[in-house]
Amino acid sequence: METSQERPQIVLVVEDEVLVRMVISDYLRNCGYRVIEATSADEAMMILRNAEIDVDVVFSDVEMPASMDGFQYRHGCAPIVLVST
Amino acid sequence: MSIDPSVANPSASQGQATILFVEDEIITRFSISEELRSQGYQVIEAASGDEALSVLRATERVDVVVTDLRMPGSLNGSDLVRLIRREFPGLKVVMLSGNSPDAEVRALLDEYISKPIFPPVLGHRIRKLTSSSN
Repeated sequence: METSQERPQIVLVVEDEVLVRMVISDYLRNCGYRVIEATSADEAMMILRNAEIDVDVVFSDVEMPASMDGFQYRHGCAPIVLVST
Repeated sequence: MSIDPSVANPSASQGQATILFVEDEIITRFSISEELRSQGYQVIEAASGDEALSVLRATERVDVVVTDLRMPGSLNGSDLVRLIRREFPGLKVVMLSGNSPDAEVRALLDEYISKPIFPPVLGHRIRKLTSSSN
C-alpha cells in the first residue's frame, strides 16, 4: 500500500452499527491503513472539515441516523465509497 | 449479528490488552484511541454506553473498559459501569471524565481519572492496572 517513507493512508469509516464498524475498522488497520471511526455522516463532516486531518478515502454506509445520509456529503477532496445493502 | 472471532480479534495471540474506549466526542475518541494503539494496545471504539454494551455482549476480547461519564443514549457512564459489574464482573473499569461520578459508582471503579489527561499518561495508568492483576 505505502512505502516506509510515506504516511499510512487514512480511511474514514462511517457506520452507525458498532459491530459492523468494529470489524471493518479492524480489517483495514490490519491492512496497514490508519482508520478514523465515525458513527454518522455529521461526525464524518466534522473530520473532513478539520484542516489538520487529511482523509484519503471515505468508506461510508448510506442509511444512518442524524441529519445527513451517505448521499449528502459535501466535500470535494477525498474519494467516497458508499456501501449499502 | 455474529462475529467471527478470528476476524474480530486477529491479534489475540499477541497477548496485548484490549481496551474498549467509550467516548461520544469523535476527535477525543480518535486521538486517545490512536495514542493507546501506538502504545501497543488493541482498541475498540464505542461512541455511547449502548454501543459499549453491544460490543461486550458480542465479543470476549475486552480486558479493560475506559468510559466517559456523560454520554448520549439510554446509558450514561454510571449506568454502564453498574451493568458491567453485574454482567462482566471480571473486567477492569476505568472512568475518564471531567466530572466526578457519585460515591456509589466510584466504589465500583478500578480507577477514576480526571480529564484532561495527557494521553501517554492514560496508557501508563492502564498498564499499571493490568499488570497489577497478573
